[in-house]
Amino acid sequence: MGDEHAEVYRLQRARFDRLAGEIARRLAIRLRSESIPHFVTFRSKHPTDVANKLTKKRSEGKRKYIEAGANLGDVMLDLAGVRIVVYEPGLEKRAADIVRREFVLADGPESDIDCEKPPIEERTQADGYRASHLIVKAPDDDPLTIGAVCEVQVCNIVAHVFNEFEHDIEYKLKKATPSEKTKQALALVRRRTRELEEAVTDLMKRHKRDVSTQELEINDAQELRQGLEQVLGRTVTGDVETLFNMSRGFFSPLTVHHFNVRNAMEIGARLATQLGVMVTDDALLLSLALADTKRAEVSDFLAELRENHPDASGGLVDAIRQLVGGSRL
Amino acid sequence: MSGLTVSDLIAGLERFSAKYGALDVYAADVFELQQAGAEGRAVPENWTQIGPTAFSVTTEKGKFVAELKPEVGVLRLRRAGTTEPILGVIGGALVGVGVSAAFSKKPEAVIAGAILGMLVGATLSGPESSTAARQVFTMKFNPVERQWRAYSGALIPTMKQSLGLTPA
Repeated sequence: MGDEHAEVYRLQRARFDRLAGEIARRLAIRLRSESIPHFVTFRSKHPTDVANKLTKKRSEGKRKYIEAGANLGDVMLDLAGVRIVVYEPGLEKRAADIVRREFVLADGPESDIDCEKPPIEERTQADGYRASHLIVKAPDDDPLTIGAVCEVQVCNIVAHVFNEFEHDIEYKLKKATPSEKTKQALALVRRRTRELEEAVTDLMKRHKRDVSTQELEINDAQELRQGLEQVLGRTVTGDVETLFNMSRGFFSPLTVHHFNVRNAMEIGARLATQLGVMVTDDALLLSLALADTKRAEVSDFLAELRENHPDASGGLVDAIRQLVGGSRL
Repeated sequence: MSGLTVSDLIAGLERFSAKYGALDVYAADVFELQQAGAEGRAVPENWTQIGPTAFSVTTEKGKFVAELKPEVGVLRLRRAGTTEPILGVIGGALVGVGVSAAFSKKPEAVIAGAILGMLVGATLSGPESSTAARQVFTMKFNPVERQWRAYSGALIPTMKQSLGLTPA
Protein backbone atom coordinates (compact mmCIF):
# COMPACT_ATOMS: atom_id res chain seq x y z
CA MET A 1 0.00 0.00 0.00
CA GLY A 2 2.85 2.32 0.78
CA ASP A 3 4.22 1.71 -2.71
CA GLU A 4 0.97 2.67 -4.41
CA HIS A 5 0.83 5.96 -2.57
CA ALA A 6 4.49 6.55 -3.19
CA GLU A 7 3.81 6.10 -6.90
CA VAL A 8 0.97 8.63 -6.77
CA TYR A 9 3.25 11.00 -4.87
CA ARG A 10 5.95 10.55 -7.47
CA LEU A 11 3.54 12.06 -10.00
CA GLN A 12 2.73 14.93 -7.66
CA ARG A 13 6.25 15.54 -6.47
CA ALA A 14 6.98 18.43 -8.82
CA ARG A 15 4.31 20.46 -7.03
CA PHE A 16 6.07 20.10 -3.69
CA ASP A 17 9.43 20.75 -5.27
CA ARG A 18 8.11 24.02 -6.71
CA LEU A 19 6.60 25.04 -3.36
CA ALA A 20 9.76 24.32 -1.37
CA GLY A 21 11.89 26.23 -3.88
CA GLU A 22 9.63 29.29 -3.84
CA ILE A 23 9.42 29.41 -0.05
CA ALA A 24 13.19 29.04 0.21
CA ARG A 25 13.69 31.84 -2.32
CA ARG A 26 11.40 34.27 -0.50
CA LEU A 27 12.91 33.51 2.88
CA ALA A 28 16.46 33.94 1.58
CA ILE A 29 15.58 37.42 0.28
CA ARG A 30 14.03 38.44 3.59
CA LEU A 31 16.83 36.98 5.72
CA ARG A 32 19.42 38.78 3.63
CA SER A 33 17.65 42.12 3.85
CA GLU A 34 17.60 41.79 7.64
CA SER A 35 21.31 40.90 7.47
CA ILE A 36 21.00 37.53 9.17
CA PRO A 37 23.86 35.36 7.85
CA HIS A 38 22.40 32.02 6.88
CA PHE A 39 22.01 29.36 4.26
CA VAL A 40 18.76 27.85 3.10
CA THR A 41 18.21 24.39 1.68
CA PHE A 42 15.03 22.89 0.33
CA ARG A 43 13.76 19.58 -0.94
CA SER A 44 10.69 17.59 -1.76
CA LYS A 45 10.53 14.34 0.19
CA HIS A 46 11.93 11.38 -1.67
CA PRO A 47 9.24 8.86 -2.78
CA THR A 48 11.11 6.04 -1.05
CA ASP A 49 11.06 7.95 2.23
CA VAL A 50 7.34 8.59 1.73
CA ALA A 51 6.67 4.89 1.19
CA ASN A 52 8.77 3.92 4.21
CA LYS A 53 7.05 6.39 6.47
CA LEU A 54 3.59 5.27 5.36
CA THR A 55 4.48 1.63 5.94
CA LYS A 56 5.92 2.37 9.38
CA LYS A 57 3.02 4.52 10.55
CA ARG A 58 0.46 2.04 9.31
CA SER A 59 2.22 -0.79 11.09
CA GLU A 60 1.98 1.30 14.25
CA GLY A 61 -1.78 1.55 13.71
CA LYS A 62 -1.83 5.28 13.05
CA ARG A 63 -5.33 5.79 11.71
CA LYS A 64 -4.84 8.83 9.54
CA TYR A 65 -2.07 7.09 7.63
CA ILE A 66 -4.19 3.97 7.20
CA GLU A 67 -7.02 6.07 5.85
CA ALA A 68 -4.79 8.36 3.80
CA GLY A 69 -6.20 9.05 0.36
CA ALA A 70 -4.42 10.01 -2.81
CA ASN A 71 -3.61 13.50 -1.53
CA LEU A 72 -0.80 12.63 0.83
CA GLY A 73 -0.20 16.29 1.58
CA ASP A 74 -3.23 16.23 3.87
CA VAL A 75 -1.49 13.70 6.08
CA MET A 76 2.22 14.25 5.68
CA LEU A 77 3.11 17.87 6.24
CA ASP A 78 6.77 17.64 5.25
CA LEU A 79 6.45 16.61 1.62
CA ALA A 80 7.86 20.08 0.91
CA GLY A 81 10.67 20.98 3.26
CA VAL A 82 12.86 24.03 3.79
CA ARG A 83 15.69 24.32 6.27
CA ILE A 84 17.10 27.64 7.45
CA VAL A 85 20.50 27.41 9.13
CA VAL A 86 21.70 30.63 10.76
CA TYR A 87 25.37 31.08 11.49
CA GLU A 88 25.00 32.99 14.72
CA PRO A 89 23.47 31.13 17.69
CA GLY A 90 20.62 33.18 19.07
CA LEU A 91 19.31 34.32 15.71
CA GLU A 92 17.07 31.29 15.25
CA LYS A 93 14.15 33.08 16.87
CA ARG A 94 14.61 36.07 14.55
CA ALA A 95 14.60 33.73 11.58
CA ALA A 96 11.51 31.90 12.83
CA ASP A 97 9.75 35.26 13.32
CA ILE A 98 10.54 36.12 9.72
CA VAL A 99 8.93 32.86 8.60
CA ARG A 100 5.80 33.72 10.61
CA ARG A 101 5.65 37.21 9.08
CA GLU A 102 6.21 36.08 5.52
CA PHE A 103 3.77 33.17 5.41
CA VAL A 104 0.47 32.03 6.87
CA LEU A 105 0.93 29.20 9.32
CA ALA A 106 -1.09 26.04 8.92
CA ASP A 107 -3.82 25.29 11.43
CA GLY A 108 -2.85 25.05 15.10
CA PRO A 109 -2.30 22.05 17.37
CA GLU A 110 -6.01 21.59 17.75
CA SER A 111 -6.25 20.60 14.13
CA ASP A 112 -6.60 16.89 13.40
CA ILE A 113 -4.39 17.13 10.34
CA ASP A 114 -1.27 16.26 12.23
CA CYS A 115 -1.26 15.83 15.96
CA GLU A 116 2.27 14.50 16.04
CA LYS A 117 3.90 17.70 14.89
CA PRO A 118 2.08 20.89 15.83
CA PRO A 119 2.54 23.80 13.41
CA ILE A 120 4.68 25.80 15.78
CA GLU A 121 7.01 23.83 17.91
CA GLU A 122 10.36 24.41 19.46
CA ARG A 123 12.03 21.17 20.21
CA THR A 124 14.69 20.87 22.82
CA GLN A 125 14.50 17.19 23.33
CA ALA A 126 16.42 15.23 25.91
CA ASP A 127 18.35 13.60 23.09
CA GLY A 128 19.72 16.99 22.11
CA TYR A 129 17.91 17.64 18.82
CA ARG A 130 17.22 21.37 18.57
CA ALA A 131 15.31 23.18 15.87
CA SER A 132 12.09 25.10 15.33
CA HIS A 133 9.53 23.50 13.06
CA LEU A 134 6.84 25.56 11.39
CA ILE A 135 4.26 24.39 8.92
CA VAL A 136 3.35 27.13 6.48
CA LYS A 137 0.67 27.34 3.83
CA ALA A 138 1.59 27.81 0.21
CA PRO A 139 1.20 31.44 -0.94
CA ASP A 140 -2.06 31.96 -2.77
CA ASP A 141 -0.43 33.61 -5.77
CA ASP A 142 0.59 30.32 -7.41
CA PRO A 143 -2.25 28.09 -8.64
CA LEU A 144 0.11 25.15 -8.99
CA THR A 145 0.93 24.96 -5.28
CA ILE A 146 -2.08 26.51 -3.59
CA GLY A 147 -3.51 24.31 -0.87
CA ALA A 148 -0.23 22.58 -0.09
CA VAL A 149 1.87 23.09 3.02
CA CYS A 150 5.59 23.17 3.66
CA GLU A 151 7.61 22.39 6.75
CA VAL A 152 10.23 25.02 7.59
CA GLN A 153 12.94 24.03 10.06
CA VAL A 154 15.13 26.65 11.70
CA CYS A 155 18.33 25.99 13.63
CA ASN A 156 21.83 27.39 14.04
CA ILE A 157 24.81 25.90 12.27
CA VAL A 158 26.27 24.28 15.35
CA ALA A 159 22.97 22.60 16.22
CA HIS A 160 22.64 21.62 12.56
CA VAL A 161 25.84 19.60 12.75
CA PHE A 162 24.63 17.71 15.78
CA ASN A 163 21.10 17.28 14.43
CA GLU A 164 22.41 15.63 11.28
CA PHE A 165 24.52 13.11 13.19
CA GLU A 166 21.76 12.42 15.68
CA HIS A 167 19.23 11.93 12.91
CA ASP A 168 21.39 9.46 11.02
CA ILE A 169 22.48 7.49 14.04
CA GLU A 170 19.35 7.30 16.16
CA TYR A 171 16.46 7.95 13.79
CA LYS A 172 17.39 6.34 10.51
CA LEU A 173 19.16 3.34 11.99
CA LYS A 174 16.54 0.75 11.27
CA LYS A 175 17.90 -2.62 12.26
CA ALA A 176 20.86 -1.83 14.50
CA THR A 177 20.95 -0.34 17.96
CA PRO A 178 23.74 2.10 18.65
CA SER A 179 26.38 0.65 20.93
CA GLU A 180 27.15 2.25 24.27
CA LYS A 181 30.39 3.59 22.86
CA THR A 182 28.49 5.21 19.99
CA LYS A 183 25.99 6.72 22.40
CA GLN A 184 28.80 8.08 24.54
CA ALA A 185 30.49 9.55 21.49
CA LEU A 186 27.22 11.15 20.42
CA ALA A 187 26.77 12.60 23.91
CA LEU A 188 30.29 14.04 23.68
CA VAL A 189 29.45 15.67 20.35
CA ARG A 190 26.29 17.09 21.93
CA ARG A 191 28.30 18.62 24.80
CA ARG A 192 30.96 20.02 22.47
CA THR A 193 28.38 21.59 20.19
CA ARG A 194 26.72 23.28 23.16
CA GLU A 195 30.11 24.59 24.27
CA LEU A 196 30.82 25.84 20.76
CA GLU A 197 27.45 27.59 20.68
CA GLU A 198 28.22 29.37 23.92
CA ALA A 199 31.69 30.34 22.71
CA VAL A 200 30.37 31.74 19.43
CA THR A 201 27.62 33.63 21.26
CA ASP A 202 30.22 35.16 23.56
CA LEU A 203 32.44 36.04 20.61
CA MET A 204 29.60 37.80 18.79
CA LYS A 205 28.67 39.78 21.90
CA ARG A 206 32.24 41.01 22.27
CA HIS A 207 32.47 41.89 18.59
CA LYS A 208 29.21 43.86 18.77
CA ARG A 209 30.56 45.75 21.73
CA ASP A 210 33.78 46.54 19.82
CA VAL A 211 31.90 47.77 16.77
CA SER A 212 29.73 50.12 18.78
CA THR A 213 32.22 51.41 21.32
CA GLN A 214 35.49 51.59 19.40
CA GLU A 215 34.17 53.31 16.31
CA LEU A 216 35.26 50.38 14.20
CA GLU A 217 34.50 50.75 10.53
CA ILE A 218 31.34 48.94 9.52
CA ASN A 219 32.08 46.76 6.53
CA ASP A 220 28.78 45.06 5.85
CA ALA A 221 25.12 44.99 6.78
CA GLN A 222 25.65 42.33 9.41
CA GLU A 223 28.16 44.50 11.29
CA LEU A 224 25.77 47.42 11.03
CA ARG A 225 22.97 45.36 12.52
CA GLN A 226 25.23 44.13 15.32
CA GLY A 227 26.43 47.65 16.12
CA LEU A 228 22.89 49.05 16.16
CA GLU A 229 21.72 46.20 18.40
CA GLN A 230 24.53 46.88 20.80
CA VAL A 231 23.56 50.54 21.05
CA LEU A 232 19.84 49.89 21.36
CA GLY A 233 20.22 46.83 23.57
CA ARG A 234 17.69 44.83 21.58
CA THR A 235 17.21 43.22 18.18
CA VAL A 236 16.96 45.54 15.22
CA THR A 237 14.21 45.04 12.66
CA GLY A 238 13.84 45.88 8.99
CA ASP A 239 15.90 46.13 5.83
CA VAL A 240 19.30 46.79 7.36
CA GLU A 241 20.98 45.88 4.08
CA THR A 242 19.40 48.83 2.24
CA LEU A 243 20.23 51.12 5.14
CA PHE A 244 23.84 49.95 4.90
CA ASN A 245 23.99 50.32 1.10
CA MET A 246 22.72 53.89 1.42
CA SER A 247 24.82 55.02 4.33
CA ARG A 248 28.18 53.58 3.32
CA GLY A 249 28.26 55.98 0.39
CA PHE A 250 27.74 58.94 2.73
CA PHE A 251 30.44 58.50 5.36
CA SER A 252 34.07 57.48 5.38
CA PRO A 253 34.74 55.51 7.43
CA LEU A 254 31.23 54.40 8.31
CA THR A 255 30.79 53.72 12.03
CA VAL A 256 27.74 53.19 14.15
CA HIS A 257 28.32 56.57 15.78
CA HIS A 258 27.43 58.37 12.57
CA PHE A 259 23.84 57.24 12.94
CA ASN A 260 23.36 58.97 16.31
CA VAL A 261 20.98 56.09 16.84
CA ARG A 262 18.74 57.12 19.69
CA ASN A 263 18.24 60.62 18.37
CA ALA A 264 17.68 59.29 14.87
CA MET A 265 14.98 56.87 16.03
CA GLU A 266 12.98 59.76 17.47
CA ILE A 267 13.45 61.89 14.39
CA GLY A 268 12.55 58.95 12.16
CA ALA A 269 9.37 58.28 14.12
CA ARG A 270 8.34 61.93 13.84
CA LEU A 271 8.99 61.92 10.09
CA ALA A 272 7.09 58.66 9.65
CA THR A 273 4.07 60.19 11.38
CA GLN A 274 4.27 63.32 9.24
CA LEU A 275 4.44 61.20 6.10
CA GLY A 276 1.60 58.94 7.17
CA VAL A 277 3.74 55.80 7.17
CA MET A 278 1.70 53.24 9.09
CA VAL A 279 4.10 50.31 9.26
CA THR A 280 7.55 51.11 10.55
CA ASP A 281 10.63 49.22 11.61
CA ASP A 282 14.05 50.24 12.91
CA ALA A 283 15.80 50.34 9.53
CA LEU A 284 13.00 52.48 8.08
CA LEU A 285 13.14 55.00 10.94
CA LEU A 286 16.93 55.28 10.76
CA SER A 287 16.77 55.62 6.98
CA LEU A 288 14.25 58.45 7.23
CA ALA A 289 16.39 60.31 9.75
CA LEU A 290 19.48 59.92 7.58
CA ALA A 291 17.63 60.87 4.40
CA ASP A 292 16.30 64.01 6.08
CA THR A 293 19.86 65.33 6.41
CA LYS A 294 20.84 64.44 2.85
CA ARG A 295 17.76 64.85 0.72
CA ALA A 296 19.51 65.71 -2.52
CA GLU A 297 21.97 62.86 -2.20
CA VAL A 298 19.28 60.35 -1.25
CA SER A 299 17.19 61.37 -4.22
CA ASP A 300 20.17 60.48 -6.39
CA PHE A 301 20.66 57.25 -4.48
CA LEU A 302 17.05 56.12 -5.02
CA ALA A 303 17.47 56.14 -8.79
CA GLU A 304 20.54 53.94 -8.48
CA LEU A 305 18.84 51.69 -5.93
CA ARG A 306 16.03 50.72 -8.30
CA GLU A 307 18.60 49.57 -10.82
CA ASN A 308 21.15 47.79 -8.66
CA HIS A 309 19.27 46.55 -5.59
CA PRO A 310 15.90 45.24 -6.78
CA ASP A 311 15.34 43.31 -3.53
CA ALA A 312 15.33 46.48 -1.41
CA SER A 313 12.32 46.64 0.86
CA GLY A 314 9.41 48.40 -0.83
CA GLY A 315 8.15 50.00 2.38
CA LEU A 316 11.49 51.58 3.24
CA VAL A 317 12.15 52.81 -0.28
CA ASP A 318 8.63 54.23 -0.64
CA ALA A 319 8.92 56.10 2.65
CA ILE A 320 12.24 57.64 1.69
CA ARG A 321 10.91 58.53 -1.74
CA GLN A 322 7.98 60.31 -0.15
CA LEU A 323 10.31 62.20 2.15
CA VAL A 324 12.65 63.49 -0.52
CA GLY A 325 9.79 63.98 -2.95
CA GLY A 326 7.99 66.10 -0.35
CA SER A 327 4.55 64.52 -0.37
CA ARG A 328 2.50 62.48 2.06
CA LEU A 329 1.69 58.80 1.49
CA MET B 1 35.85 60.28 -25.31
CA SER B 2 35.90 57.94 -22.35
CA GLY B 3 37.92 59.99 -19.88
CA LEU B 4 36.79 62.70 -17.51
CA THR B 5 37.31 66.23 -18.76
CA VAL B 6 37.72 69.22 -16.50
CA SER B 7 34.10 70.10 -17.28
CA ASP B 8 33.01 66.67 -16.08
CA LEU B 9 35.05 67.08 -12.91
CA ILE B 10 33.51 70.46 -12.21
CA ALA B 11 30.02 69.08 -12.84
CA GLY B 12 30.75 66.35 -10.31
CA LEU B 13 32.18 68.76 -7.75
CA GLU B 14 29.16 71.03 -8.03
CA ARG B 15 26.56 68.26 -8.10
CA PHE B 16 25.26 69.35 -4.71
CA SER B 17 26.27 73.01 -4.98
CA ALA B 18 29.09 73.84 -2.62
CA LYS B 19 28.25 71.19 -0.05
CA TYR B 20 31.36 69.15 -0.73
CA GLY B 21 34.75 70.80 -0.89
CA ALA B 22 36.55 68.41 -3.21
CA LEU B 23 36.10 65.65 -5.75
CA ASP B 24 38.56 62.76 -5.81
CA VAL B 25 38.92 60.67 -8.95
CA TYR B 26 41.54 58.28 -10.28
CA ALA B 27 44.15 60.20 -12.24
CA ALA B 28 44.15 57.51 -14.91
CA ASP B 29 40.55 58.48 -15.76
CA VAL B 30 41.26 62.16 -16.42
CA PHE B 31 41.29 63.04 -20.13
CA GLU B 32 43.64 66.01 -19.89
CA LEU B 33 46.21 63.91 -18.05
CA GLN B 34 45.83 61.07 -20.56
CA GLN B 35 46.35 63.55 -23.39
CA ALA B 36 49.39 65.15 -21.77
CA GLY B 37 50.93 61.75 -21.23
CA ALA B 38 50.27 60.70 -24.85
CA GLU B 39 51.77 63.96 -26.18
CA GLY B 40 54.77 63.82 -23.89
CA ARG B 41 53.84 67.01 -22.07
CA ALA B 42 54.53 67.38 -18.37
CA VAL B 43 51.66 69.78 -17.78
CA PRO B 44 48.23 69.36 -19.37
CA GLU B 45 47.16 72.02 -21.84
CA ASN B 46 45.53 75.07 -20.20
CA TRP B 47 46.65 73.97 -16.74
CA THR B 48 49.13 76.10 -14.84
CA GLN B 49 51.53 74.47 -12.46
CA ILE B 50 51.45 76.07 -9.02
CA GLY B 51 53.23 73.46 -6.97
CA PRO B 52 55.15 70.19 -7.29
CA THR B 53 51.98 68.30 -8.17
CA ALA B 54 49.37 71.02 -8.04
CA PHE B 55 47.82 72.88 -10.94
CA SER B 56 45.56 75.84 -11.40
CA VAL B 57 42.74 75.37 -13.90
CA THR B 58 40.67 78.33 -15.07
CA THR B 59 37.35 77.80 -16.82
CA GLU B 60 34.23 79.86 -17.45
CA LYS B 61 32.96 78.43 -14.16
CA GLY B 62 35.84 79.89 -12.25
CA LYS B 63 39.23 78.97 -10.94
CA PHE B 64 39.98 75.51 -9.58
CA VAL B 65 42.95 73.66 -8.14
CA ALA B 66 43.81 70.15 -9.31
CA GLU B 67 46.11 68.32 -6.92
CA LEU B 68 47.77 65.16 -8.10
CA LYS B 69 48.62 62.53 -5.46
CA PRO B 70 50.92 60.16 -7.35
CA GLU B 71 51.37 57.83 -4.39
CA VAL B 72 47.71 56.82 -4.54
CA GLY B 73 46.97 57.68 -8.17
CA VAL B 74 44.35 60.26 -7.26
CA LEU B 75 43.48 63.65 -8.67
CA ARG B 76 41.61 65.97 -6.31
CA LEU B 77 39.70 68.93 -7.73
CA ARG B 78 38.60 71.80 -5.51
CA ARG B 79 37.66 75.45 -5.92
CA ALA B 80 40.60 77.78 -5.66
CA GLY B 81 40.79 79.96 -2.58
CA THR B 82 41.47 83.63 -2.83
CA THR B 83 45.08 83.21 -1.71
CA GLU B 84 46.44 80.22 -3.49
CA PRO B 85 50.14 79.78 -2.71
CA ILE B 86 52.41 79.21 -5.63
CA LEU B 87 55.19 76.95 -4.51
CA GLY B 88 57.43 77.52 -7.45
CA VAL B 89 57.88 75.78 -10.74
CA ILE B 90 59.91 72.61 -10.75
CA GLY B 91 61.32 70.64 -13.56
CA GLY B 92 58.79 69.15 -15.93
CA ALA B 93 60.40 65.71 -15.68
CA LEU B 94 59.51 65.40 -12.01
CA VAL B 95 55.88 66.23 -12.70
CA GLY B 96 55.86 63.74 -15.54
CA VAL B 97 57.13 61.06 -13.21
CA GLY B 98 54.33 61.91 -10.80
CA VAL B 99 51.68 61.65 -13.51
CA SER B 100 52.89 58.31 -14.84
CA ALA B 101 53.20 56.95 -11.31
CA ALA B 102 49.61 58.05 -10.68
CA PHE B 103 48.38 56.21 -13.76
CA SER B 104 49.65 52.91 -12.44
CA LYS B 105 47.81 53.22 -9.14
CA LYS B 106 44.19 52.74 -10.20
CA PRO B 107 43.16 49.52 -8.45
CA GLU B 108 42.64 46.51 -10.65
CA ALA B 109 39.22 45.95 -9.17
CA VAL B 110 38.14 49.34 -10.48
CA ILE B 111 39.91 49.27 -13.82
CA ALA B 112 37.29 47.33 -15.75
CA GLY B 113 35.57 50.30 -17.34
CA ALA B 114 34.24 51.94 -14.21
CA ILE B 115 34.85 55.64 -13.75
CA LEU B 116 34.30 56.37 -10.09
CA GLY B 117 34.63 59.43 -7.94
CA MET B 118 34.10 60.50 -4.39
CA LEU B 119 32.93 63.88 -3.19
CA VAL B 120 34.75 64.75 0.00
CA GLY B 121 33.12 66.95 2.61
CA ALA B 122 33.73 68.23 6.07
CA THR B 123 35.22 66.13 8.84
CA LEU B 124 32.64 64.74 11.22
CA SER B 125 34.62 65.03 14.39
CA GLY B 126 38.14 65.47 15.66
CA PRO B 127 41.02 67.31 14.08
CA GLU B 128 41.44 67.66 10.35
CA SER B 129 43.55 64.89 8.93
CA SER B 130 43.59 62.72 5.84
CA THR B 131 41.94 59.85 7.71
CA ALA B 132 39.48 61.77 9.90
CA ALA B 133 35.88 60.65 9.47
CA ARG B 134 34.22 62.68 6.75
CA GLN B 135 31.01 63.14 4.90
CA VAL B 136 31.44 61.74 1.42
CA PHE B 137 29.32 60.84 -1.57
CA THR B 138 30.36 58.03 -3.86
CA MET B 139 29.53 58.41 -7.54
CA LYS B 140 29.92 56.70 -10.87
CA PHE B 141 30.33 58.55 -14.16
CA ASN B 142 28.41 57.51 -17.25
CA PRO B 143 30.69 58.40 -20.20
CA VAL B 144 27.85 58.07 -22.73
CA GLU B 145 25.38 60.35 -20.95
CA ARG B 146 28.28 62.32 -19.43
CA GLN B 147 26.55 62.40 -16.09
CA TRP B 148 27.41 61.52 -12.52
CA ARG B 149 25.11 59.29 -10.52
CA ALA B 150 25.16 57.88 -7.00
CA TYR B 151 27.10 54.67 -6.60
CA SER B 152 26.40 52.17 -3.83
CA GLY B 153 28.09 49.08 -5.20
CA ALA B 154 30.72 46.66 -4.05
CA LEU B 155 33.67 48.84 -5.06
CA ILE B 156 33.08 51.38 -2.30
CA PRO B 157 35.55 49.83 0.17
CA THR B 158 38.23 49.76 -2.55
CA MET B 159 37.47 53.38 -3.42
CA LYS B 160 37.69 54.52 0.19
CA GLN B 161 40.98 52.69 0.70
CA SER B 162 42.62 53.70 -2.55
CA LEU B 163 41.44 57.27 -2.41
CA GLY B 164 43.30 57.47 0.87
CA LEU B 165 40.31 58.16 3.12
CA THR B 166 40.60 54.98 5.22
CA PRO B 167 43.71 53.10 6.29
CA ALA B 168 44.50 50.02 4.21
